[in-house]
Amino acid sequence: MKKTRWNKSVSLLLAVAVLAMLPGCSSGGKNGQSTTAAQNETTVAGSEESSGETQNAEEIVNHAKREGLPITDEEITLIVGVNSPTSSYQLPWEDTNWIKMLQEASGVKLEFRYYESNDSIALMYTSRDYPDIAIGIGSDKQIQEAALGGDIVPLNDLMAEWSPNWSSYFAENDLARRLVTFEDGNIYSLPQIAEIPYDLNLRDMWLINKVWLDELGLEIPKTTDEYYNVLKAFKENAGKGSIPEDVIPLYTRNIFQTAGGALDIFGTFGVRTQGNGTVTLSDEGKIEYNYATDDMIEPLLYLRRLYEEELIPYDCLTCSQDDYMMMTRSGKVGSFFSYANPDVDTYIAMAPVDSGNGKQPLTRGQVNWLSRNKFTIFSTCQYPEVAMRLADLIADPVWTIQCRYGTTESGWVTRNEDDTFYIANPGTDYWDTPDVRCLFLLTESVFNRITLAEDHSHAERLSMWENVYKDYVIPMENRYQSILMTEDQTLRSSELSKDLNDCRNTTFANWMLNGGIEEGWDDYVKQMQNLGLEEYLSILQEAYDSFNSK
Amino acid sequence: MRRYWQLYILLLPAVVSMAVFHYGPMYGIMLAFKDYRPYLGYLGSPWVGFKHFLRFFRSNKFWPVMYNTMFLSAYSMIASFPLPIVLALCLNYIPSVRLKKLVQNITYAPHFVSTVVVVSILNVFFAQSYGLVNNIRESLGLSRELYMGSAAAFRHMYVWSGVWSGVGWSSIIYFSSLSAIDETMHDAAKVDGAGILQRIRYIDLPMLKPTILTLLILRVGDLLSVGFDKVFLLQNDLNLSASETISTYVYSMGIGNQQYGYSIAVGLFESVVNLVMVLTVNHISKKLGETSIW
Repeated sequence: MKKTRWNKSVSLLLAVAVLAMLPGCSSGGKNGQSTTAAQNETTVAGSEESSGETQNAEEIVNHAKREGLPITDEEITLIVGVNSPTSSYQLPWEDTNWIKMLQEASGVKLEFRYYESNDSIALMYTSRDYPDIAIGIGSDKQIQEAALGGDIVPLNDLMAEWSPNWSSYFAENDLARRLVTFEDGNIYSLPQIAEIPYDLNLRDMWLINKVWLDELGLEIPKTTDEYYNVLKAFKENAGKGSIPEDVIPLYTRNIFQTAGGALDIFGTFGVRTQGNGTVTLSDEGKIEYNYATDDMIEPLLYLRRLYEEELIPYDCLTCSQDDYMMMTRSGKVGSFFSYANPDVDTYIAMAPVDSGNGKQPLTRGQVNWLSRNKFTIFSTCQYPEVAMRLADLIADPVWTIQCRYGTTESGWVTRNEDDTFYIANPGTDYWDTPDVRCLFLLTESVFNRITLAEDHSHAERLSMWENVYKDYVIPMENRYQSILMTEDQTLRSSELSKDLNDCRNTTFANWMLNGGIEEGWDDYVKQMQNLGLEEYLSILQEAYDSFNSK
Repeated sequence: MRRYWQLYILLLPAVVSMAVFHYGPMYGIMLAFKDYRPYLGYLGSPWVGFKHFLRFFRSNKFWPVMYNTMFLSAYSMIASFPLPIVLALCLNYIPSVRLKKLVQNITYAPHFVSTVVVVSILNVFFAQSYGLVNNIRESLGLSRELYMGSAAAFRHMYVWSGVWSGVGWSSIIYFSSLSAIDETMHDAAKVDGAGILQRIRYIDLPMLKPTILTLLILRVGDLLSVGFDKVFLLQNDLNLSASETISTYVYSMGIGNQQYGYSIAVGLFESVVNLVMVLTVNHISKKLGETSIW
């Protein structure tokens, strides 16, 4: 009884808050929509320069100025819901230079409310006790449902009026617009856009121990046979030179792990792989699941041979993230797959090798250029216009670059006069920005304004991307984007994908341990069909078709 | 009532805590029959009947998951139930107080080791390429085995590491019941020439019987609840056929997708099965003229 009365009073309050906000929005719309929309085209990058040009410049709607900085002259505080720092190099939000600079420039005071775990986020959404805005808090489902309840402000109109940066980005990038548009046609959250070539395309680099290659007088392998011979040579020469007695020629983290898995072995035989073994798109744009097609047999046999001859330890099938980190940094490993190269003096990245089956070797791709749900404005927020302008400011290249790579105050970032940036090696310093926890709009052209120092930890990936992997990573058109699905589609497909992936992972791991790939293949395919592979693909296809027609 | 008011006051905190923390939240059970939407609230969310239950029962994994859970739980009960009794009996007959204390402390200690650490220890012992067990096997001329990736080994590791962590702790209650036994009975038995085994059989076990039966009935009531953490941490692609239990499955299907209704439905199903088990065993025990909980 008590609960319902409480709920009622909360929803009443919410309703009042929504009503109170409406006049502010609509009056703003009437006065200045056409003029600002026209200006959007010209003032995308440098909103600061053009202030004062318009007659409406001084117009203030609900404490937000249309142009220029600060965003507001009043004392306005926004409560921002954020995740707690998850790793030791992340500072609390309010302690980062970037946030301090942002508050100073915008004139908006930010007060952070931390959500420690998914549970506390779930509690926020179920209890409907919201901050003013949230950065990176909430899943698709949570945001969708809160939006249905009217708890989240649709951003379409607000964005058109108050955020030239975001509205012009979405106008030019239809894929991005469709990816963030919910079922009802509204945009409820802004994404983080990171079109960083080495991140957006390349998942793991294929590393090989250069020192041992040199000691043994071997070249970097170019074919699968040469690669096998190199691993074999590592094994046979255990205890000689700098190769330890208990050498591990190849170490992978299971088969289907996003970080360090063996998926690039499949890719090298020309099988399209993405992420942790999700579906991909065929050249005709159809959803495809490559792990139950006959193309898999050849790479599986190859991988099994590596296991059988103990060139990969069986431990790899059961190892944890910790084991993987420990082993790949122990100096005992000859070759492994990794996001970063932990020891550039020892390991060198190699291109996928030719399998001789006539197919172009491929490197696994990933899609993380757009992360949804990075910025939401809740209906309880009294100043949605101010919040939207804040999001617009963050999307400005100068702020975006500093958010991702460090501020000019940090000592390792230099801003040149033409607003290009030089990023030196931050070393072990704390990053002084919220970094990838925050929304930003780092398009390819913005990325091109950056020069990374040679010893910057990302510089190696960038150069490896440009010199080695560019021609091998599966093309963007073949990558499955993470699209918004209906609830029924999400439920059914997640159930099916769990069954299918469990079956696939267990079967493959068993084959690695015991062999029997050719004999067991037909049974495996049949089993996958019984588990609903067709249905799974048709659900995804249906979702993708409706996504494409958005 | 007036006569025993002190006792009622003593009882009060327990009753209040039960009411607030156990009976109070029970209205949430209705979400098992609803499609919960935060913006519609508990009462406003639409009823969906047994939809969530049917989804669970009809999923491909229902039977394997039930089998694994029951098997693991039953094995665990068979292995871990009698050992604390044996330990308590042994301890009871150690004449040296210092030795008794030492053994007690050593056996209690693993209870305080967290699950994550227990799993790491298992890894260090059983890893194929560097594990202690495999090192010993190799030195004896045996092959190295991938224990972490074996479904059968998973069950043994799960159960016996559980015994290792729990045996000392669970023996406390038996040990205390044993020390409550009147010494004169033992003295009389000794005078009659009874040995240790006879004293255990004719004095200790009969005295312990109510405790044992009560704990057994309660334990059976947990048959479907296999702890989440250890199973989840030990789980990998190779042992999945034995290590997918109700709790890990619900974790990946329900909580990961914010399917609150689904998770609650499975939880409710678990509780109902557990309740039925308790009632059945209790009834049997009562029928046999032995101890029962109520």
